[in-house]
Amino acid sequence: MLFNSIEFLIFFPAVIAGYFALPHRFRWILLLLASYYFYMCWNYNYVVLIATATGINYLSGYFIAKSNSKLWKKVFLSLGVVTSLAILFFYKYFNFFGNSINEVFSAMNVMAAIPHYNVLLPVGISFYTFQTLSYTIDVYFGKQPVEKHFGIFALYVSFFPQLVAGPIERSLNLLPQFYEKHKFDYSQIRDGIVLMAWGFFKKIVIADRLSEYVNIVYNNPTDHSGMQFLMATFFFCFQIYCDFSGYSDIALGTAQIMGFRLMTNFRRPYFALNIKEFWQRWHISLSTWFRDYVYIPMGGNRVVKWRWKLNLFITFLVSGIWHGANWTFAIWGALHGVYQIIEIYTVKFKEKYLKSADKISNFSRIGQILFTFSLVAFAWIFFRANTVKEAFLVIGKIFSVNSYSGAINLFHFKIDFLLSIILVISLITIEVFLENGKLVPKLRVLKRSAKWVLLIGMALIIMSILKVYERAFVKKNNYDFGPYLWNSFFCS
Amino acid sequence: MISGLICGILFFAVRIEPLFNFFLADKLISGYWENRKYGELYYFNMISHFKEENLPPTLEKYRFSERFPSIDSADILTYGDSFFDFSRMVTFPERLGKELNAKVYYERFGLPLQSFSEKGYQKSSKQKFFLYESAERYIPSRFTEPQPYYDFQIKESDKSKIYHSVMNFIFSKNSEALYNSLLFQSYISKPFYCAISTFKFDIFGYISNSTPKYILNKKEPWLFYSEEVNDQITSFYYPYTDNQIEAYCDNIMDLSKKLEKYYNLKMIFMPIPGKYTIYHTLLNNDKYNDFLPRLYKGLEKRGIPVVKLLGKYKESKEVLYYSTDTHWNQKGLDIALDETVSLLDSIKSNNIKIQ
Repeated sequence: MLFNSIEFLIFFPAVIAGYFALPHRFRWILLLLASYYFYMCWNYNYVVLIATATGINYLSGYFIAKSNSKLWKKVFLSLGVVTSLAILFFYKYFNFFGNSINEVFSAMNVMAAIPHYNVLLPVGISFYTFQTLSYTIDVYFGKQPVEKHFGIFALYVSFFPQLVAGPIERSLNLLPQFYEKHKFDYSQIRDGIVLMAWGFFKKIVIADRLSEYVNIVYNNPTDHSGMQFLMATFFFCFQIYCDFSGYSDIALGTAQIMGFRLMTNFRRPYFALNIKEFWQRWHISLSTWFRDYVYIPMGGNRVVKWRWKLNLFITFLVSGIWHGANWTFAIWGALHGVYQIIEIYTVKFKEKYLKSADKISNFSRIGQILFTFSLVAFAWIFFRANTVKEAFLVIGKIFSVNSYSGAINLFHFKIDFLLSIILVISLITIEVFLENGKLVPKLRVLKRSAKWVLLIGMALIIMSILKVYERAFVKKNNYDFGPYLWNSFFCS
Repeated sequence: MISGLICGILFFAVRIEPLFNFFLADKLISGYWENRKYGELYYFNMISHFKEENLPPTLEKYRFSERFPSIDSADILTYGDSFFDFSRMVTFPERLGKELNAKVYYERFGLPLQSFSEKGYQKSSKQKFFLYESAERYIPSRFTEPQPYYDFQIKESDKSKIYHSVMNFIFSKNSEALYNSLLFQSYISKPFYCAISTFKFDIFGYISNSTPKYILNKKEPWLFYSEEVNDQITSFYYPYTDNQIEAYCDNIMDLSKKLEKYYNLKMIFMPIPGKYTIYHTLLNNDKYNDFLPRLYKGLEKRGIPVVKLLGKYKESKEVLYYSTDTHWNQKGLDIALDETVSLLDSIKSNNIKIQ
C-alpha cells in the first residue's frame, strides 16, 4: 500500500479510530495486524519473508541474551545476520551479480551459466532487514535488552508507518515506545497531520510534477540535448529530495498521530556546506546505520590514514549498492566516497581560506552550498540514469556546449515548465525560512483558525493539482509517472 | 470514531458488489468491476458536454455468458476482447450462432492455448472453426511473442481456489480503482466532479489524458481513446517497422498452427479497426501507419484467413462506431457479421473438411 493512495486514506483513519478506541494492552495487536495488512496489500505471499526475518532475529536475540558462552553468542549472532543478509541478497542482488558475472565471462568467450530467477523484489526488504540486523547486533553488544514479547518484536519489524521506506528505526528508540500509553492528544494529532500534509505536498505536488520532465529526458537519453539534461538533472535533485523526504514526513506524521516519535530523516540537505555535512542531513537513519554497523566496525577513523579512507570508500560503495541492484548505484555511492576522501585532503585549505563555517560570510557560505549542491547533482546523474553507459552519455551532453537548446519545449504546455520552476523556488524559499528557524515560530503564533485555513489550503492545492490539474493535463507523450521514486529504488 | 466507521464501510464497499453499486450514481454491471463504465469514454473525463444521451445502455440481458454452449459442445469457438463481449446490443458470437444455426462459444481472453489448458479442452476429431478477434491496438501486445502451448492441464485445487478467493477479498487488487470510482461516481461526489471537470474544460480547455482527442459537437460529441492516438505502440501514429509487422504475422501464424495441431481448429483472424483509424479524418488528415493493410498482407501471405473490415468500414457511409464509446455500434457489428459469414462460407466451399 502506498501512502499516496486512496486505500491508505481509508486504511489510516480506520486504524487510528481503532487504536484510540482500544485499551492500551490490545493496541499492539491492532497495530501488528494493521502493519501486516499494509505489507500484504502489495503481495500477500511474500509475508513469509518478513515473518521469517522476524522469527530468525527474535530467536537470535533471545539465544544471544540467554547464552553465557561468547562462542554461542557469536554463533547466534552469525545465524541472525547471515540468514537475514542471505534473504536480502537472494531477492535483491542474486540476479544482478549473476548477470554481471555471466556478462564478464561471455566477454571472455567463456560460458558461465548462473541462473536468473524470476522473483519479485519484496517491498521494504532492505529496510526491515537493516532494522532487524541492528536489533540483533545491539543485543549482542549489550546495547539493547532482549525483547521477550514476540508480538511487540514483530511490530517493531513491521510497524507500518516506516515499514516500506524508513526511517530505519533503532530498537532502542522504537521498542520502548510500544509499551508507552499514548493518549489522544489534539496538538500531537494536529502536528502529525501538518507533517503528513507537508509530506504529501512535497511528494504529490512537487516530486510528481518534476518527475514528468525528468522521466521524459532520462528515459530517452539519445533524443535530448545538453540543456535538457542540465534542466532534468536540476529537477531531479528536487524530485528525489521531495520524494524521499516527503515520504519520510508522511511516515513521521503518521506515527506522531498515534503518539510515536520516529527519527528525523532529512534536515534540508541541500544547505550542506560540504559532502560530509550533506550526509549528516540526507537520509540520516541510513547514514547513521552505515556509520554504526559498517564504518565503525571496520575501524572508522581510528586506523592508519589510508585505511580510514578505504573504510570511508567501502562504506559509501556498500551504501550505493544498498540503494539498488545496478552498477549506477554503486558508482553513485563510490563517487560520494571519493568526494569525502578529497574533502579530507582539502580540509586544511578550507580552514585556512574559508575559516570555520559559523564565521564565514554569507557570500562564501552560499558559494560552498552551491559547490556542494553541484557535486551532489553530478552524482545524481548516476543515480537516475538507467545504465552506466547512459550516465556517461548524459555527462557528455551536459558538457557539450553545442547542444544547449530547447529545455522548455518538452512540456506540452509552457505553463507546466513555469509551474515546475515556481515549485522549486517556493520549496527553496520555505526551506530557507525553516533553516533559519524563522518559519515555525511564526506559524506557531498564528491563530488556530488561521492554521486550519493554511492546512486546508494546502490540501486543496494537492487535490487541485493531483485530481483536477493532472487528470486534465493533455500529455503529448504517454509516459509513465510511476508512483514513488522511493519505491523503485528504496522500497526493497 | 465516525471517520473510522465510514472508512470501514468503504473498505467493504469496494469488496461487496451490491454495496459498491449502492453508492454509485451510475451503476456498474455485475461481474464488470471496472473503474469506468464499459467502454464509455465520457467516464474518463466526466465533462458533461460529452455525455451522449442516446448511447444504448449496457444491459445484463446482452450477456452471452449466461446462454453459453459449453466449450466442448460448441461448433465454433470464438476468443477475443470487448468487441465480442456484451456491450450495448446482442453480442457478435450470439448473432453468429443464430446466423449459422450453430453453437458458438465465446471467451473474453487473448490467450486461447492457456484457456484450453485450464479448461481441459480436448482435441476434437472434427475440425472446427476458431475465430480470434482482436482490437487493432491489442494485436502488438498479444503477438509480440509466440503464444505458448501448455502440454499440461493448469488446474487449481479447490483448497487453493478458496485460499485465493479469501485472500483476494481481503487484499483486493482492484480496490484502488474502485475507490477511485467512488470518488468520481458516487451520488455525493459525481455532481461536484462533473461540475469541476466541465468548468476546467470550459475555461482552460483541459481534458483528461485518456481522451485527448475530441470533437465537441452538441448533437454528437466525439471522443477518442488515448491508446489509439498517442505515440505508443498501440497507436495510429506508431511507426511500425516491416520487421515488427512480420514478427506479429509469424506469431499469429504460430498460434494458428498450434491450434490446428493440438486442437484441430481452423483459425480465422479478425482484427477490428480502431475507431481513430476509421474516423481520424473528422479531426485531421494525419497519415495512418498502415498497420492493418500491412498485417492483412502478411497474414494472407501465410495463408491465414482474415476478416478484413478496414476497407468496408472506410467505404461505409453510415457511422459504425459509437461517438463516445470505443466500440462498434449495431451497424458496425452487422458489417463484421456479414464479412465473417461470407468468409466462413468461402472457406467451407474450398475445404470440405470443415463442417
